[in-house]
Formats: sequence, structure tokens, C-alpha cells
Amino acid sequence: MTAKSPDEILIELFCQQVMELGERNDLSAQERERIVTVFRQAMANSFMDDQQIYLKLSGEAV
Amino acid sequence: MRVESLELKHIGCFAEKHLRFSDLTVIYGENRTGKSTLVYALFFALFGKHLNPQLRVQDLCRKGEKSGSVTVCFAQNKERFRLCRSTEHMPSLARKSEGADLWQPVANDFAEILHNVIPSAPETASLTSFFRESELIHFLQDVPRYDKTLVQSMTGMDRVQILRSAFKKALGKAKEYRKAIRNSAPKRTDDPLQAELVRRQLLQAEKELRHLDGEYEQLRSRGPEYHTVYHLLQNQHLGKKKELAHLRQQQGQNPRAADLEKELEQTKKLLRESDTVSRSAEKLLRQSGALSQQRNQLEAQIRKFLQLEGQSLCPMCEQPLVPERTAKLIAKEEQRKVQIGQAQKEIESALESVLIRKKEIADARKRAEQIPFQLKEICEREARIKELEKETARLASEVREKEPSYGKSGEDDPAQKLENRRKLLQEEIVRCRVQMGRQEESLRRLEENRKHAQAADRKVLLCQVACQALDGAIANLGSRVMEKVRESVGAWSEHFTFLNRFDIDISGTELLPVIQARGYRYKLSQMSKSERIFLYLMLKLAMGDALGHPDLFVLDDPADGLDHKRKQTLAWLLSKVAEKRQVIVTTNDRAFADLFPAASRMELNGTG
Repeated sequence: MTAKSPDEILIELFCQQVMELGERNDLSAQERERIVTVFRQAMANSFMDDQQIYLKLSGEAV
Repeated sequence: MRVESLELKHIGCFAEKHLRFSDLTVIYGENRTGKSTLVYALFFALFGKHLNPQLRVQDLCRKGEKSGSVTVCFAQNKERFRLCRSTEHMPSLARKSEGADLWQPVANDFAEILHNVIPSAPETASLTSFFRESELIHFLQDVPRYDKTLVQSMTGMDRVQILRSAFKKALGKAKEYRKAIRNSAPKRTDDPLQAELVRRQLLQAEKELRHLDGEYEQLRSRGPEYHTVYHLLQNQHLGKKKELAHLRQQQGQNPRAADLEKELEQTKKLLRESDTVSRSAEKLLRQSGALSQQRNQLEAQIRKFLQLEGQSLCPMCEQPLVPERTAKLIAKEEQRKVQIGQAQKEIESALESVLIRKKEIADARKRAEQIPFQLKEICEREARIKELEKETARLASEVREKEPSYGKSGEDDPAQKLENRRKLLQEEIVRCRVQMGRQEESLRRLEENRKHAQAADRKVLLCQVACQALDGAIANLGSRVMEKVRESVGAWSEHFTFLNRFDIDISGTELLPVIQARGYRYKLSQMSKSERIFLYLMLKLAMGDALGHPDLFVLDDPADGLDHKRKQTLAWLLSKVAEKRQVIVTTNDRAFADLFPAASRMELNGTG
């Protein structure tokens, strides 16, 4: 049982994508971290809707 | 992980059942003897869920029982674990190290330890380690929906698709917000040239105003008479003129002195008659009193005569009375009474007119007292009018003397001129300042909006990056899983010799294999059932290698519909799989069960 679960792989890939795109779009480390955190929260909480995602991504809600 | 035993209590058709497993275990039983129940119970024991997502764990309970429980014992890394799950209560976990005699219950960090021991998610384990015939039917008939690939469908990525949709909607919201900010931007009406012009106008006006103030001060310091004496005289002149006009108005309203003197003459004449009138009034009063007395006497006489009228003798002298004579006397007295009354009336009317005259005299006396005062007042007023006329004339000449030269020659007052210009400049300054204030406010609002727009752009960028990253991650996940699956398919295909005649390839992102044989491209549905079962098993094993599995492969009646030769092949394959994973097979086919000579075998007879 060495392979990672699809969720773990997806999060890992998402982090990689965010780092690449963040560098290309001059996102700060804090902003990149925020995107990854929001994604992790959304993966863990299936009740999180688009409004909450928007507010968290834009930094209006923590 | 190696499952050692499974204990069931009030589950399915079992009241109580204890099973022990080896590396390859075959469970044989006729239909309705609880084979599938065992598979479901094992899944529930390990993952706490029903293997069939459409059913609840309570559906596992034996009929008539409120709850059921399953206990699974398994070994991992030289440690043994005992996991007990109930359909009603919380699970419990106990561990025993190698060589130990007693089970140690795990109370703290239960979830963490359980996750370390069984890290697979239930959905992943269901996909990679449990085989059901019903699932096979689903696999054969399932067509990828929307843009979801079969691997996404198999790995339960619906949730991720929903998440992707939520991120896209969040991006839409960010764009809407940005649009709203852009629409609310104030329109730029002022141009810099105009602003500069206004600024210069303001400076010019301020400069000129300062200059004017200096001039005005100079003008004021030229002489005090210009502003004080002249204006004082002018004010005095105006005041006197006003007073004169007021006195003249009073003079016009009051009677003239000549009329008053005439009235005084008449009053005096009337007063001279005063004694005569008083005397005649007294005389008349006396006459009136005498007449009243006479009348009273007459009335008393008449009353006496009237008393005698019915009598025959006189009560005084006792002489006989003649009625005719008595009546004549009464008539005579009555006539006298009437005459006296008439005379009395004449006297009274005369007295009345005398009294009126007397009152007129009294009024005249009062008036005679007032008239001299009025005459005196008129004299004083006339004297004051004459005085004022003289003063007004003098002041008028003085004002004319003090009148400045510009006033005489018809020129404008320079101070007034300065004052007017000053007013204009002040208005101009206020106008320029208001305009500049508006321009500054407009610029401030523009700057504020620009900042908001920048923030909105940043939000859109963050949402865009998140969406793109998620899209990329989903695509990469597919390709990464596909890559691993492809490698694993290559490894397993040497065992699946039955499928050798097919050229099975997997496209970049799609699990649906490209199946070709002898130059002909097959569709999945064109394969025989046995071929599809083998293909599905191979893909399941490959997916397990790619996504992880709990070292277990459980198959519920996999040989259904296979001929004897294929059953042999399947038995051989499963024995090969058992070299890598623990295999548990249930079947209702005794011949198939007999094909596993090395396996430990259990038989179910439908009794708990």
C-alpha cells in the first residue's frame, strides 16, 4: 500500500500547478498559499459553495 | 495488511459466524447462503461503509435485530489489530504486538492510527480491491458523461468536478465584481488644460485682489473728511429734512391757529351766558316744585269730594249735600289739575333745554382751557419748522460745499469702483476654488476607483489561477493515473495470456482501452463476456497498483457465466494474484471452487 490516494495526488498536482501559474502571474507566496489552503478546505468540506470559495480566495473571509 | 479472521454477529443471515482466512481463501455456498453478505461485512468492518453505495450499513443487520456487529482481525508490520464495528455504536480498535498475550485497546488517536493502518479511502478500496458482478455490468454499460473520463468516473471524481464547477462560479463572481467596479468609475469630465487654466485664473484673481486691497487702503488714508465729515453732514441734513417733513405733516393734520382763536371767542361768549342760564334753571326748578305741590293738593281735594259723592250729609257741618253740586266741584278741580299738569310740562321742557345749554357751557369751559395749550403748541411747532427750514438750508449748502469734486463733475466714486471690482474678484476666486475642489474630488474618486479596480483585477487573477490550477491538476491526475495504469497493465498482461490476441492500449487521458485484433478495432461491448471480465479484472488490478490497495483482493462470484476452460484460467490467474495480494473468492460453483487446490476452503450452508 504505497500509492497515494487520488485526493492526495490531486492536491499535490494542484500545488504544483499553483506554484507554476503563480510564478508566471507574479503571485506572492502568501497568495499562492491562500489558493492552496482554500482548495484543501474545499476538498475537505463538500458544503463549501462558490460564494465561500470566492470570499476566501479574495481574502475577504478567512 | 493480511486479514486473519472475521466475526459476524446479527449480520445478514448469520446470527453468529466466525471465519478464518489464508492468503487464498475460497468460500463456497449455494445461492442465498450469505456469500455476498460476507463480502459486504468485510468491507464494512474495514471501512465502516456499505460496499453498495445505494445501501445503508443498517441494511446489513439480521432480520428482526436492531443492530449487528463485525470484528475483523488483521496483521500489519508485525502487529495484530482487532477492529470491531457495530451498525449502531462507535468502532473500537485494539492492537497486540508480536509476542504479547493481551489486546491493548486504542483509545487516543484512534482515527489517526486507523488511517495509518488502513489508509485507502472506501471509494478507492471499492474500486481496486473488491469485485462484484453488478459492478461489472456497470463497467460494461457505463459511458463517460460530459467531459468526465472513465478514470474520473471510476475514481469517484464527481466531487472534484463539482468542486471545479464551484471554482469556475467563484471566478464568475470575481469577474462580476470587477465589472461592477469598472461601471461605477466616475467619468472624466475635466481635462488637465482646463484645470491649469482655472488654477492660473485663481492666481491672477488673488494677485489682483491683493493689489486692490493696497489701493483701497491708500484711498482710505487720503483724508478723514471724505468719509466722515461729508457723510456726517449728509446724515444730519437727511435727519433734519426728515424731521421737517414730519412736523409739516403734523401741521397739515391739526387745525389752524386762526380757527382755534375763533372757536375760543365763541366759547368765551357762551361762558358769559353761564350765570343767566343758571338763574333761569333755578327759577324753573322752583316753579316746577310749586306746581307739583299745587297738583298734590288738588288731588287730595278731589279724593275728599269723591268720598262725599255717595253721602247725604256733610261729615263736618252735617248739612245736606247736593250731588249735582259735588259733581260740579269735582269737575272744576279736575280741570284745574289738567291746567297745572300742562303748565308743569311746559316748565319741564324749558328746564330740559336750559340743562342742555348748561352742559354746552360746561363743555365750552373745558374747551376754553384746552385751546390755549393747542395754540401754544402750534406756535412752538411753527417756530421749530422755521428753525428746521433754516438749518436744512444751511446743511444743504454745507453738504454742497463738502461734496467731493468727482460727485460734481459726474465721475464715479473711485472707492465704489474699487469695491465693485473687489467684489467681482472675490466671486471669481470663489468660483475658481469651487471648480478646483470639484476637480480634486473627481481625481480623488478616480484614484479610489482605480485602487478598487486593481483589487478586483487581483481577485479575478487569483480565481483564474485557482481554476487553471484545478483544471491542470485534474488533467494531470488523469494522465498520471493513466501512466501508472498503463505500466501496470503491461506488468499484468503477461499473466492475462487470454487477452494476448488483443492489442490493448490506453489513450492519454481515457481509460477506455483501444482494443484491436487482427487489424479490427473492437468496441468494449463487442467483446465476449469472459473477455470483458478478464479485461475488467486486469484494469482493476492495474488501478489498484496505480491508486493503492489494502493488499487484498475480494471477488464475489467472479466465475459466473464462464466456461470451464475460462474458469481454469481465472483460477490460475487468481492464484497468481494471491502471490502478491491476499485473495478471497466466493462462488456458488463447486467445480470452480475445486479449481483451487492450494486454497483454504469454507462452505456456507445458510445457517448461522
